Amino acid sequence: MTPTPDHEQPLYSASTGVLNRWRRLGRLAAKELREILRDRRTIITLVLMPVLVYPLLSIAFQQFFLSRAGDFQQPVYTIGIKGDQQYAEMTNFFARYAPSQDLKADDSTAPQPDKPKFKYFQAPDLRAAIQNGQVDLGLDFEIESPGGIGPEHALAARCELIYDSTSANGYEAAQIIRKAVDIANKEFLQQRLEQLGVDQRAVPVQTQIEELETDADVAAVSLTSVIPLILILMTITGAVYPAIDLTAGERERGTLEILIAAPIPRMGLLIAKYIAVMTVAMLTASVNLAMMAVTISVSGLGEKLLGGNGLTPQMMIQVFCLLVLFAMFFSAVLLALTSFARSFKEAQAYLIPLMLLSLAPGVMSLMPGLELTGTLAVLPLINIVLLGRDLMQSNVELTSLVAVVVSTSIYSLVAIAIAGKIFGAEGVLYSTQGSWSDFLRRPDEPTGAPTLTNAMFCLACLFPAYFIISSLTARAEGLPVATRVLLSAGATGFLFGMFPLAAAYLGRVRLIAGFSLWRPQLVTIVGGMLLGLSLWPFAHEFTLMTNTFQLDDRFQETAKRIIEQVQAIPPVLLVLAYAVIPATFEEFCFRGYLYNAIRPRTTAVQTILATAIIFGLFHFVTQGALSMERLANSTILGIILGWMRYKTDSIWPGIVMHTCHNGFLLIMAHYARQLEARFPQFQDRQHLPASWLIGAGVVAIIGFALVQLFASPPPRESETVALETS
Amino acid sequence: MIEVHRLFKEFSLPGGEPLTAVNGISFSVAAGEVYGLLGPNGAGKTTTIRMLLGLLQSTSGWAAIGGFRSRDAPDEVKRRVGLVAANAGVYQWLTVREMLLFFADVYGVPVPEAKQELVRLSELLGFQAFLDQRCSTLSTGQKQRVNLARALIHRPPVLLLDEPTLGLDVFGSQVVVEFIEHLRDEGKAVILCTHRLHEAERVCDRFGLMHHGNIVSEGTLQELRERTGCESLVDMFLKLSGSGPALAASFGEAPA
Repeated sequence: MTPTPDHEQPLYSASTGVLNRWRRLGRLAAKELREILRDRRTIITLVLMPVLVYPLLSIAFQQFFLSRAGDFQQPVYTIGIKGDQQYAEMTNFFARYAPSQDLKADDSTAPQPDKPKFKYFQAPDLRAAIQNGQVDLGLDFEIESPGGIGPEHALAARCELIYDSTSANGYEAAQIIRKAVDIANKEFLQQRLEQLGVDQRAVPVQTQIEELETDADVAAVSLTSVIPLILILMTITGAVYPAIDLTAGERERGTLEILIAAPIPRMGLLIAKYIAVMTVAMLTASVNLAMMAVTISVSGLGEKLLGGNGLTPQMMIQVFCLLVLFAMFFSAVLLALTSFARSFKEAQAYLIPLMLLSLAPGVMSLMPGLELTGTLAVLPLINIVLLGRDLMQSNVELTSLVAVVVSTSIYSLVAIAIAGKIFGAEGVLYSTQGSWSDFLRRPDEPTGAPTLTNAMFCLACLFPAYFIISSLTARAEGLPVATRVLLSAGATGFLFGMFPLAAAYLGRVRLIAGFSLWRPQLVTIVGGMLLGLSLWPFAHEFTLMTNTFQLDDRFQETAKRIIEQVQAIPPVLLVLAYAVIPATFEEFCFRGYLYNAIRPRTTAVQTILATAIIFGLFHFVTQGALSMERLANSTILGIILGWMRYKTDSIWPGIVMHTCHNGFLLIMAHYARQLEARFPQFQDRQHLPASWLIGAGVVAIIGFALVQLFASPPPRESETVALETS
Repeated sequence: MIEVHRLFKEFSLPGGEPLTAVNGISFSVAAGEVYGLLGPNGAGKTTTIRMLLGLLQSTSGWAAIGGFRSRDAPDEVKRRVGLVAANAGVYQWLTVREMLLFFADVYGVPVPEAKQELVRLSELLGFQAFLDQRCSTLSTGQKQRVNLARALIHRPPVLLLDEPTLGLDVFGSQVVVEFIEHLRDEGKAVILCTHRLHEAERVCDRFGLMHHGNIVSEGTLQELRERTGCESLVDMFLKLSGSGPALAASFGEAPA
């Protein structure tokens, strides 16, 4: 056999090891970045636009403030007075009762906003002077009885005010003069009454008007929101071109197919492109932020826009972090959209509606008085702009911050998962007839586990819906207790039942396998029950321990209020609404659907932790507020429930445990007064006796042991029922 | 080296109507052999190539390269294949050197070997002069030479060439044709899809004539001549394009 020459030996090799794979991902991203950063179009959006935009914007802002602060636009009213004597007396009179700004001092002194500006002229023919436009207002002043103008004289005079009915200046000047004459008349009358010895006020009812400046008066738009909005819009601008170029552009140029033909996972390629797009977006954001900081400091706009010390380094770091979060989210959205496109033009067509959609909430966020709570905290883009505004005003609430960060992170993951499904997919890469329906098309074959994309899509819908519904139910305090309880139970069932079911239907996921509804062994049910009944003392101690560190008065108040509410609800309804229904549907969602979506891609430990953390986060943001102790408690409970799901391969033991745990705590809260009377240990949130903890520990260990020792995966195939309607 | 067994691909047209692109074809290509997969537009050649590489999933049947099935082990298949597609582009902002080294990296070729191979291929295909030029500055012929080098940088045993001479002038085509002959000499298994039938006649060892997703005839040029009574591939092709099923009947064999 002839030996193969050297140049015929294959050179390719498999990239093995996690480190190698990460290195290759890094090199892929570096190549994408190198290519995109050499493109002059990127440089234009990256550097040139910020350099031009911010100085122009600062000029616009300066003009805005100048027009608000200064009175340079205030008109000068020209007043014509008939006759020499009248002129002298009237100018004296107005100097006293309608003082004018000193026109000569305009250039050197600050404006006097309370005073109008008048110029007086002698005009023998007032009507002609008005018609000629020489004066705004003519004063025909006739003294009917002798004496000078002033309270000390028995003056009787007639004053005719003449102005052009179409002249705004004439009308305004007449109003000012009439007010001045009114003031003078009242003063004269008061002094005459005093001279006559009448001890009465000249004007029986005196009115005083105080005009308060409200936020709406200060600005028609919230100027502080403008800064994050501009930064965000500029970040979008930076990300758009690379996102199109690296997906649709590559496809158009014919380089995408050769890349997909290489032995790199599609998701790896996508992540490399995502890193490149996000990096360019971040570079754009950084350049914009820097240019904005320079412009603000040079123009002195910082104090005017933000108050205090203007744009501080700390504020810049916070805003930068916010932009990172936004870049993560928007780059993923852009890639998901542009991955659909087959050409540059098509991608641009897809992005136009996205831009318009982005502008709407962006502009909405400029409305003054808008608070980052409830729905707004989970609405993409608007939540980021409002958080940016609150950061700049040093007025951030932790609840809102968490809601924004968590929801935006989830949206980013969902967008990446969707992009991963679309990017380089057969239907998109080669089909000329692909459409959005491809994404929603159900798979041909039923499957036993949901895909991660499917699960992320479900979570993305579930989290905002949960946040909004729980905020709404928290506000429904006017409703009867029973109605509220039923509403809450219905909402829980709907959210954690219908959302995963709908997603599973879309993904053609088998009901039994996809939600782990296998029939468990009876002994594991008993184990779950024992655990559910015995874990509460530890949860109680844990809550006390965390409160020792936090000493949150608001929490104590909330706890008291909850206990009072619980005591007003019949126990059966209480257990059904807050134990059976939540336990069943939450297990259905988290340990059933979500667990099965994550498990094929990770280890059991990672799956248990991931589902527990997501479970904890859902309990953390509850009823429009944050509940720190619920985050920790629920996550720990989630770990135990996840372990039980892992051991038994079924969610039923977990449902029993979860129900017993919730139910037992609720019953104890319901009968708190009776328990406190019988067991003083319950009073004032004291620690439980050691004997109680030991007893509960023993029961818990028995429960753990029953599950650990006797659980074995049940038979499956015979029980498979497809979630099919067609 | 290349095996295709009852490969079938059906697309769904808008409205749900199925379209059979490849209708259960079978063929094989040995190492050191150039196989011409010929046929009119829409015959199913490119779809076959894409299924071979795992870029498209077959509806049924299988394709394998070096013993690895493209459906089961797509990465193993991709490592063993170099693809030159008709519409393959280049990274316009990278230099030729950067682009080729990038692809070498993608296929796991160590950097020193990649650099040596880059020099060898640039000499072989005659593009040493523009190794450090940006790809956007290259002519169509130069780009195609770079693409050939890109497909070979990891020294794959299999080359899939889909219209490699499309848009090239006589000189450019000549370079490609000579290079295909060189690949055969190096022992590579090559599938060549082309409409330039005189080039195919010159370089291909065997042919598969495709029409409407079927291989209506397969064999060496001599065998095809005997079977069709046509002297050249052009005549066979015209006959095929004019009356496909009739041609199949005249070939006297059922579609594979």
